[in-house]
Amino acid sequence: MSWTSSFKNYCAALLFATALAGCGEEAKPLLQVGEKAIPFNLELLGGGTGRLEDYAGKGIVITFMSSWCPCSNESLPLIKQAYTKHKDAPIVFLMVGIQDSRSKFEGFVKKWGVPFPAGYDKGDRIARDYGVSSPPTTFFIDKNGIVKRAFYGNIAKKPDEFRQWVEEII
Amino acid sequence: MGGGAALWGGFSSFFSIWQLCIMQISPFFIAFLAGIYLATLGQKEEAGIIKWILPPCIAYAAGFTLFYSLLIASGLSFSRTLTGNIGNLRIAAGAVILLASLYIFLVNRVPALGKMHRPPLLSGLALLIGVSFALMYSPCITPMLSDIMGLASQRGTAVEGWYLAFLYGLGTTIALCLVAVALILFLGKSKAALRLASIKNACGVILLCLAFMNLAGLMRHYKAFVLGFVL
Repeated sequence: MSWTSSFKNYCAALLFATALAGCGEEAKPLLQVGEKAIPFNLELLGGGTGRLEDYAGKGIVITFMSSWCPCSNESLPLIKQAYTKHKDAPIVFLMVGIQDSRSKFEGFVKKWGVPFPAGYDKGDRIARDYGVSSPPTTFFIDKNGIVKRAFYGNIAKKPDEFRQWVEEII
Repeated sequence: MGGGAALWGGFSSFFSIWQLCIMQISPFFIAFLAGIYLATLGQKEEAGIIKWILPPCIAYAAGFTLFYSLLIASGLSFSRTLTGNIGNLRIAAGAVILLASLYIFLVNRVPALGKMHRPPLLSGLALLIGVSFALMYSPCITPMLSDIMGLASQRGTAVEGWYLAFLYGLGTTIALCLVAVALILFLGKSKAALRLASIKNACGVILLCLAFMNLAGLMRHYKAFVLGFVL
């Protein structure tokens, strides 16, 4: 087999694999900034369930994190600080553990003394619905349930923007 | 942000603290490449790096970069479909990695496999390994990747974000391939060359562990315990 024909065959195989990988479950609605947030049921570590509708009329900062991720660890102090500042305001902070073992995530929540609700996203279902492929990812949802902003990565690198985005959804 | 900056950003991230996250794939790719090359040394008299290693590296880069960038570009409908099926796709990735590890174990033992052991076959295997690694990988979000994901997640800028993610992933992959080739060259010239068969089998075992973790849905534990330990 010549190199040219091998190359063509592999390009064809790659295209076929790409197409095949896209088969199966239909694409879910895309979570977009400026549109309604997707409902979720999050099993909270302290017991109970956190649901989007439970927080109607309040702003929501929902952050997807993993214990093993350096950026998640760096982001947490800033988010805790914002929670402390706004704990009496109509805003909810929520942490979702993804791509992690449950025990490690529980240890992470304990280690950082996370003062707001946190839950483990078994099977990363909520992360999939929100299009989250990596931690940390943070969404800012306003009191009408509209996604105002999405931020991918270490929020501690943008402290001023973070504070402003929190203020925007109160 | 330009394409050149994205390419350099991906390349340089490999040699930075972000290697911690790339460790989800880097040791396994090195094991794969070393495994197939050491199998070649046991099979063929003419085992030049350019002929036997370069084509698999290019094929790996193509498979990995395409799927890596598609998974990041969540603003594309196709990407949403991939993400929606990621659980099943990771199991399929585990099956591909299992085949690769068995190939490394058996190629010097089964004459029929030995005859098939040619650069085009290795390139095909590397292409599938590239796709599989992209499916199981959860990149850490570097500051540059943060900007790229911001673009790639929104419908209006998803194609631009995908293009930048492609170049970013390509940069990381080029760095990984260079390091893997350098290690293989070092291995070939060192005293370790006397134990090539054992090293080849060790590479197969490493891939076998990875295949098992993917098939059993245990990759999250690898990330949590191994990467968490390093952190």
